Amino acid sequence: MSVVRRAPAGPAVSSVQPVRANPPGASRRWLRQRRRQHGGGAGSLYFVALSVLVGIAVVAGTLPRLLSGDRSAADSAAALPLLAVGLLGYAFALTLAARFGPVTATPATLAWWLASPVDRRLLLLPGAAMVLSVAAVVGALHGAFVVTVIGAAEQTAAALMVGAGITGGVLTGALAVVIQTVTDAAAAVLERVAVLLGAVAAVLTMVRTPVPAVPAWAGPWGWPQAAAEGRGGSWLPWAVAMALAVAAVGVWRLDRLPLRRLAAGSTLGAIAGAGLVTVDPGIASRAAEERRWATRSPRGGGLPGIAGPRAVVGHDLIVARRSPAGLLVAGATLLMPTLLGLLTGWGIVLAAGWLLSGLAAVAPSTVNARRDRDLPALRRLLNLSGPTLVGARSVLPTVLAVSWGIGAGALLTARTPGAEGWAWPVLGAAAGPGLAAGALRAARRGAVRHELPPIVTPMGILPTGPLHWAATGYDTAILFTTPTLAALITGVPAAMILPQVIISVVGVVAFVLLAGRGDGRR
Amino acid sequence: MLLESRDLSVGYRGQPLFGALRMGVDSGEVLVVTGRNGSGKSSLLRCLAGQQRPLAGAVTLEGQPADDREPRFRRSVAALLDAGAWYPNLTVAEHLSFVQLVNAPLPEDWFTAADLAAALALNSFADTVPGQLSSGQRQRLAVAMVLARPSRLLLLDEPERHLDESGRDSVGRLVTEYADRGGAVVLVTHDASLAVGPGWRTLSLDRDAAEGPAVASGKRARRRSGAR
Repeated sequence: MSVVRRAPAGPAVSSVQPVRANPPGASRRWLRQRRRQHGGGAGSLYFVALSVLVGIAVVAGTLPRLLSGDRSAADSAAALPLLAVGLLGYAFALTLAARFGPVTATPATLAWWLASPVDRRLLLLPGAAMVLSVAAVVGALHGAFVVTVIGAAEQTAAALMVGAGITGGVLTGALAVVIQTVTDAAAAVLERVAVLLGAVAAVLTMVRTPVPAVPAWAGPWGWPQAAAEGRGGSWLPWAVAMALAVAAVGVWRLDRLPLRRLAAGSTLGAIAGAGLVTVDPGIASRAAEERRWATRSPRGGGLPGIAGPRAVVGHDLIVARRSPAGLLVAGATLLMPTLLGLLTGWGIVLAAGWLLSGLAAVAPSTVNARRDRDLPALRRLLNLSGPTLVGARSVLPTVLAVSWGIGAGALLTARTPGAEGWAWPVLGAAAGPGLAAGALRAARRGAVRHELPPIVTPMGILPTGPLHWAATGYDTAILFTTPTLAALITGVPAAMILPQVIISVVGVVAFVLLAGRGDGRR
Repeated sequence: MLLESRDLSVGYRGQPLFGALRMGVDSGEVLVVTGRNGSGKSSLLRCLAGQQRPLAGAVTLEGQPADDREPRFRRSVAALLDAGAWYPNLTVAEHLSFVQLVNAPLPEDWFTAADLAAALALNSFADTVPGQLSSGQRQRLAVAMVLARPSRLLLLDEPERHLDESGRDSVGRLVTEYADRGGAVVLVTHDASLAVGPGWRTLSLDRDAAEGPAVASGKRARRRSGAR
């Protein structure tokens, strides 16, 4: 027997009634009840699980250091590189905020609820709370990283630094929300600020002057450093008050956020427009790419007049020329291995930073490969065999990855004490094809596979679909750049060059053949 | 016979939408397929395009099984089956150039990008990316792209969708021109005005094919539709 529950009835619309938004609470309760009946708690479980994992990562990363009694004083030579890492982190976060809103709502909310006469502030409050929560977690991670690098004399000082990081994160997140409520050009403003932060980070990376301390006025990206050694006592309360005040203004102004800014400015708007009701990172990144191109006019020449598979390379080239943002990202990511080399020395942190930075640098050049994989109709129009098309789409990412590897290696050599002069750029170039194969595999992954069996853990049920999605591409990159990663951990590059050349060549050829044949069968 | 189906039964999970369909289309011919919603028109086109396996029977292109995985088959068949596909970062004009550059060298008498742009009135938005176009403009682009690529068999599934009257007329003229150049066309449509052309034959899945292989008669389909 099935029970049909009625949705809460609202008052009949009347032209003489005072115009007042209905509170959405009753409808929300009704929806929650329906979700519980249909066992729809997987999303919240996933979020709780992810939050717990992040919390564990923060605690595991900082506590051993704090409890071991590490009393290392702040190194004056590390101050500017550490500030540059903070700037790059904030630039990355602001780019994501510009891409996704930052405040947004589910596709169903955008399509139905926001257009109805309900209280928009209450409706968007969960979205704003999510933005501020994520900002706080990112700020905490920043603070924990600073504590890990420069150490803290006592736990109170470490807590102050993490607190300063959280304050900086919340203030930045709240400012992004306020900007979104003020102007239609919020995405452009946030992106320009991100570019500015990246440029300052580049300058700081190359400066060799030691700085004893970073002042609080340097900005929220420098607050954990400014609060080191208990220096936050005088200004941190004021910073907390300012962050809370800006957050309150952002929440207060949520009802001033027009639907067009949410629906037209956010990725989820595009998803709602496509009639989809679920969101995952794969769908969101595709929708963001479509929106990005739909809001600009292409400039910078046309297709080069070359025929056959080389025309596919020409297509990738003009897209790269039309996307200076992609080149800026590649330039910014060049700095990260150098900065990590300065701050942490050879080790797993540097290796992980190198891998993530390399994949981020190559990713913008793989958008057309992803489009080919998504749409078999396009592949049929091009009428190339699967391996030929994938091979042609691999050319530009490989060239970019090789160039990035050389650049990152040269910077690492220039700024890292004890780095061998010639070996790092050569090893970086050798690792380029392996990085490109990983980036291409990551670009070609589809939506999250929710049908994969979950893992039952003491914390609850952990869905493996998102984990599988997140690992796809990175697995290949790790496999195909193992010699370089090993060199970054040990600091000995020369012996790894030949193995890296062999693995990269075999890896990229295997990827092109396997992925191309897979496309041919689809 | 360029395209032929023998005792074709199409459906899903073992349930046929129609059965024992025999039809054929030769070079220079246009076969219009009509039928109510759910009668199996789009599924038939996917079978003809080698993208769906029939429940029974066979589809052949010049005597070879229709199989989308075969490069030789793909080279001969151009299909617009669903909503069009495009790159978000290329303009309308660049899409046509790109398809023709990748498929070069083209036959000498093939449609040029300029021909197609003029026939489908693309010139007014030639420098615009698809994300900024209306749904009708995007459909014009999709039709132009499928014709820009050289082929011998053209499969069109409701190409009139989102198009205004002049757009539908343009599609009708281009289909006729494609057939005049020696190509074979299978056109699924709900538009009565688009379904009528000089010498075009019609296959009605409601009338000429029945549900289930036990009921359907291939001869009946041939007789009533005039399909060979």
